[in-house]
Amino acid sequence: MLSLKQISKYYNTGNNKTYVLNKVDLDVEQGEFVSIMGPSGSGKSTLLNIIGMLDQPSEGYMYFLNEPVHQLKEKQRSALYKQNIGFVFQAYHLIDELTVYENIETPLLYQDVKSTERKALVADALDRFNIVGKKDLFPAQLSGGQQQLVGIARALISKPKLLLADEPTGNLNSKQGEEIMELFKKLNQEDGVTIIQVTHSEKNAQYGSRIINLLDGKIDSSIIL
Amino acid sequence: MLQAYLKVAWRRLKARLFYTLLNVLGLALAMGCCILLYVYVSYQLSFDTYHRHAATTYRVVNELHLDKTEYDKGSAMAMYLAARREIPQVVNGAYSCSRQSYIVTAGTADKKLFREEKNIAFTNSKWFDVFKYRVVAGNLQGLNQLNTAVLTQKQAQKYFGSTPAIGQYLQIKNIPMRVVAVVANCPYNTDQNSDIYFSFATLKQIDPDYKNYTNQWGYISSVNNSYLVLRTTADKPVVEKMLNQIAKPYFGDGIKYYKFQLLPLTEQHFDLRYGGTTQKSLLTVLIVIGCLILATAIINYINLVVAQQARRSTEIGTRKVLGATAGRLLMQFVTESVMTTTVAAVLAMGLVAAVLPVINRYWFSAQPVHVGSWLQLGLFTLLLVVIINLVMGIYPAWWLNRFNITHALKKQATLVQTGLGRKALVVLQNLIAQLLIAGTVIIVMQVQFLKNTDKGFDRNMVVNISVGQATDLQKQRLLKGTAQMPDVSSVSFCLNSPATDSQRGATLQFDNRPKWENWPARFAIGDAAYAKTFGLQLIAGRNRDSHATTPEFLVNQKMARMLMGNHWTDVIGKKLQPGDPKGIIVGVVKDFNVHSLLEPIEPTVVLEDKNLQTNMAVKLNGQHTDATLKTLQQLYTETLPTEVFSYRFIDEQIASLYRAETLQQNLIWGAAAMAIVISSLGLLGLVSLMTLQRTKEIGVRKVLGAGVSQIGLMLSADFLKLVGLALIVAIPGSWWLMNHWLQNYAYHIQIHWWVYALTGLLAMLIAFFTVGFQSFKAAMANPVNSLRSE
Ligand SMILES: Nc1ncnc2c1ncn2[C@@H]1O[C@H](COP(=O)(O)OP(=O)(O)O)[C@@H](O)[C@H]1O
Ligand SMILES: [Mg+2]
Repeated sequence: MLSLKQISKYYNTGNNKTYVLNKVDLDVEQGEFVSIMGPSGSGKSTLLNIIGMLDQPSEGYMYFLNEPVHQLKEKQRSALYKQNIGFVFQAYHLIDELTVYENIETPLLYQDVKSTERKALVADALDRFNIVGKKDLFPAQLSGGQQQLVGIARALISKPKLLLADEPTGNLNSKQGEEIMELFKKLNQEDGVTIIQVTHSEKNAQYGSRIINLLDGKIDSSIIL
Repeated sequence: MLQAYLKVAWRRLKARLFYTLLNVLGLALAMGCCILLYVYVSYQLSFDTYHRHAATTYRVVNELHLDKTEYDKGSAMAMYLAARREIPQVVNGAYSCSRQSYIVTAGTADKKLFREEKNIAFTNSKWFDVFKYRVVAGNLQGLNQLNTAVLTQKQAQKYFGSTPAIGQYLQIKNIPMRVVAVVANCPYNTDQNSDIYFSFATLKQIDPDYKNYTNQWGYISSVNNSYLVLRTTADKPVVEKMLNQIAKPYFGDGIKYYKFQLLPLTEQHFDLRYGGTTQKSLLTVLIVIGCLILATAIINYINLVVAQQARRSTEIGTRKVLGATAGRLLMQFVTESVMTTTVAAVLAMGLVAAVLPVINRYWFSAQPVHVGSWLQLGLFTLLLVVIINLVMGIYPAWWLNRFNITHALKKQATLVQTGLGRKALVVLQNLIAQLLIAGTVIIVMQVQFLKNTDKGFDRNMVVNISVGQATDLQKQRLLKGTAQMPDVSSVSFCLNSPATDSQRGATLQFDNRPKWENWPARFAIGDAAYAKTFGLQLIAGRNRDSHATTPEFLVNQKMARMLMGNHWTDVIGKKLQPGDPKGIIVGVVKDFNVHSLLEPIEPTVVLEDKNLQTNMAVKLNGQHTDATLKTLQQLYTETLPTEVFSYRFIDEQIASLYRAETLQQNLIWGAAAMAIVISSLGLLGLVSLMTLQRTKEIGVRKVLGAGVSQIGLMLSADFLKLVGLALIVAIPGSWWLMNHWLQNYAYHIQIHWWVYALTGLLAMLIAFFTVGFQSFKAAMANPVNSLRSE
């Protein structure tokens, strides 16, 4: 499903280049649940952003669903990720002015999904994540765990094939974290969503099917569980 | 989707109610100003544009090239008739003798006397052919017969009440005039506004002076109006050339001083040389000021958007990740600004409707402004809304286009901005306000100077009373009567007081010089008491004697010097022929201004012309003024039973000379006040956002031991610095602009340094009060609260 070839990312600092990612090769198959680990500053977020097409690599090739992403135009790239990739953030990034319902609905609006269909999809998601009772609340009225739940529901609303999560439990306590991880596992196993998450917690990493260790912009180890 | 935009915009605006209100208020005030200025400017521009052939109608005017060029909007009827007869390009035309004053006798049962002041015209039905009037009753053709009149509705009402006016009679000088038609009152936007039209053919009966009126080519006077309608505008140069040609035989050698020209009807309102009342440059200045005020409000809005950009970037980043395109994100911004400006526009229209009558009453009392079409005004407001939104959309569009998602979503994104753009905008805003403040101070000072300065005469306690064509005997009786009044110190029969807008003068011949001087002198026409009544100061020779057999003249010092240079006192006893009369100079008076202070002192002769002395100037000693005026009225009605008593203090008359300046003063005053209010609103919004964003820093500083005043000053200082910076630019800018403006006046004030000290102080104080309150409030907050909230 996803294939990175010799992906590098560097920044120009003065005269020399500082490599954040250095010739990374990575293949992820449909249905995998990958956890990326590594010390702070090792390039985990950068890697995830490149996979999610929010950021572009300085060098290298990337194929997603057999499309050569490095050759696509901005418009095509954005169409590709809009339909196939969902994001979950450490800081949730819910939109303050929107209710839970509207937050979940937003990606559908941007994909011009019809109103009736939207309603059905959002109702479904509310139901599935057990947040029907909270649909008219604003983010500020929810706990961290609940906010992240909404964040995940929003990421999954347009049925992406790949879910990217950057430290999804970083702002949560361990119990809330566990619940999120259970949810990920269920999504992966029952719905077949491919997941790539960045985490600092050894325990959370164990939920996945593979652990990749990044060190200084290179893959240090890749362990299949 | 639209619904989603509206919903989010509404919630955002509501959640930031304080800033929304600041924006709405600022924009409403600015748009209100723009709409008012539009009303004013479009009203002025609409003057006399509605006549049938307005674009091809021209007024015959002339330039008289003496040492100094004189402009006259009048033209002789002889020339008009010749032009109609001999120039094929002239397809139509109208002639009138307007601005006449008479005592009119009218009424149904009991006859009453009405003093009609400069609102009577003599003309024929052609006039109504060229200019558009609506006939309410009767037939205009009747005006081509002898002894007929056409009235406006308002005038007919005044004379005859509800009785139909057609067929009724008016009388002037005992000559009956039959009303043949009534026309609708003139629209507001015309300079052709007489109320009473008498048939032209009757003029000779009423005033024997007009006997040879139709063939006197030299009878050029500003009350004689010729209008010619040409085939096309392209004919103008040809017709002008032909006018000068056909005039040649009648002027002889004198023709070389004259240049006859055509003034487009639609330009007449703006050409001050020919009696226009509005300067186009004023309209330009007003448009610029309107734009500046609008800019101030837009800057407020943009500044607040920019200041909140840090907070907003996470949301924008998230939306982008969720699939929003830059265009859709921009729509969100635009929806917000459209909602804000729409509310502001509605408010602005309300403000205008409420304020216009008030402004008309106090500022435009001499020439009230009227809304031509409310529909047009609505469209203008719509256009304004569109323009404002386009401008306000530029910044978000630019920002969204270079937006970097990963940067925005990074948790500890480096949000330290230099804020340079924002600071520049604040400086610009303050610059606008300060230019207007300094402008206001200077214009107010100049107008006060103009209104209160007498050059060489004394205006205090002098009353002008019109006596019309009173006979010598009647004048004698008036003099005898006033001599009995203890509080009257002097009485003079004259044409005008000094400092008027009337233009009389002529070239002259001095002593035994063979040639006439090539410069004209101004006339101050009055009897021997003129000098005493108006406080002219004799500096050589003696005053005139009214009973002398040869006419005697006073000249001013300027004229004496122009005639004899340093030996100017030698003019006394020499012969002088100013225009027709021949006499001798008996005295020299200190220079005094016959005109407004816009013009420099000109060579002036004080002389007698009994026929023109239709005015009685009475100098009072300032005691029992009311009682004295009552006794004057009694004396007047006894002596002149066919006249109507009315009086006017000359200082009012002088003030009315500076109507245009007074209007400018009011307009700029209003504009400055608006600019200050709007930029203060902006500053208030900014400082409250800034202190909010710096809450944590303030907390830390307090914990580290900073005092309230230190922090308050630190926060205020940032803004005050910007105000100071604006001042540095404002001083030279306004110095240049205002000196330029002052050059319009022969007599003007000097701009002193303290004007700018005052401007700076005012701007600083206003900024300090706006900023200071918020700053000190933030500085006084308990640091524990602000630090815990993270
Ligand atoms: N715009 C940038 N310019 C220079 N260096 C950057 C930029 N963005 C990120 N970096 C650097 O890239 C490195 C990797 O960052 P990141 O991928 O966020 O690491 P991680 O998520 O593993 O903590 C960091 O050392 C960071 O300082
Ligand atoms: Mg990271």
